[in-house]
Amino acid sequence: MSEMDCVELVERVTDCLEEALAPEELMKLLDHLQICKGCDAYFNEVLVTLKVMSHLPAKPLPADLEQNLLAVYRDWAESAVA
Amino acid sequence: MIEVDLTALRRGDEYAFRALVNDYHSTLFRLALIYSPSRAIAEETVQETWLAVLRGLDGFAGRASLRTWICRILVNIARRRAGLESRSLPFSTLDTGGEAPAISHDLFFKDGPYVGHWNLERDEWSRMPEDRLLSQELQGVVTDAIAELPPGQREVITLRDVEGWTSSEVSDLLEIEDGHQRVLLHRARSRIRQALENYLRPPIAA
Repeated sequence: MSEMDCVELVERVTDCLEEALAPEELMKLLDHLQICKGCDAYFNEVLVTLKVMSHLPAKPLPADLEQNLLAVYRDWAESAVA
Repeated sequence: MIEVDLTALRRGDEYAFRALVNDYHSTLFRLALIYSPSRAIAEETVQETWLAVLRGLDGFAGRASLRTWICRILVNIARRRAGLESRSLPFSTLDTGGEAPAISHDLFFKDGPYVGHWNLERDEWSRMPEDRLLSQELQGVVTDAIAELPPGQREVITLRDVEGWTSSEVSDLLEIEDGHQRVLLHRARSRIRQALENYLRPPIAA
């Protein structure tokens, strides 16, 4: 069974993180990461990228939009009860 | 996401409604922005979505999760407003995004004993202190890079990596196969990683 090279590894990172690799592919990827500084760095870069994205601040609901929505809700509630 | 009290919502409880719209706003607004030329239009889309949610609330049977149901209403409205037929023209399947590799192949040996391996040592730019990593500066770089993605990639990465949805929730909402979702996610993540690298280690001009 052939080893995984760096060109292939960078294309399999997502499948690895998504747990979509077959067991033997996963073994090849992990074996490669252990011996390849470049791919280990690349893998860390992807993890750092994920971390930045998962910490983006939430978009708060603007006060004027909230007021509009509450007015819509009141109308709806009134007609629903009527 | 909060536990939503549907009964309170149906009987007109403003507290329940306010909690719901505040809790969902970030996700809905980010999704709306994908199809909207401006923040104002994205906000209109969000407002139209809540109108449609209220109209459909009594019929909501709870088979889908509430957030999948609400987000699907938003995506359909946003796509329609953008001039796209929601069902017949799914963005995600139109969007091939090209076959670009995750990273330029110029960085790998093309022949010789090390063919397919990195041709120079990678600068370890990902080693940085936590406060730098989570700084507004890098958040801006990533937000801008996400905004430049093709819509299909942007939908998937927004839901998975920014909003933290599971892959099955995303496949369910966008009505795409898991394999296709992974292709879109891979291309999107590769581009965002590259954008961070370009910012932190600008390529040296030749």
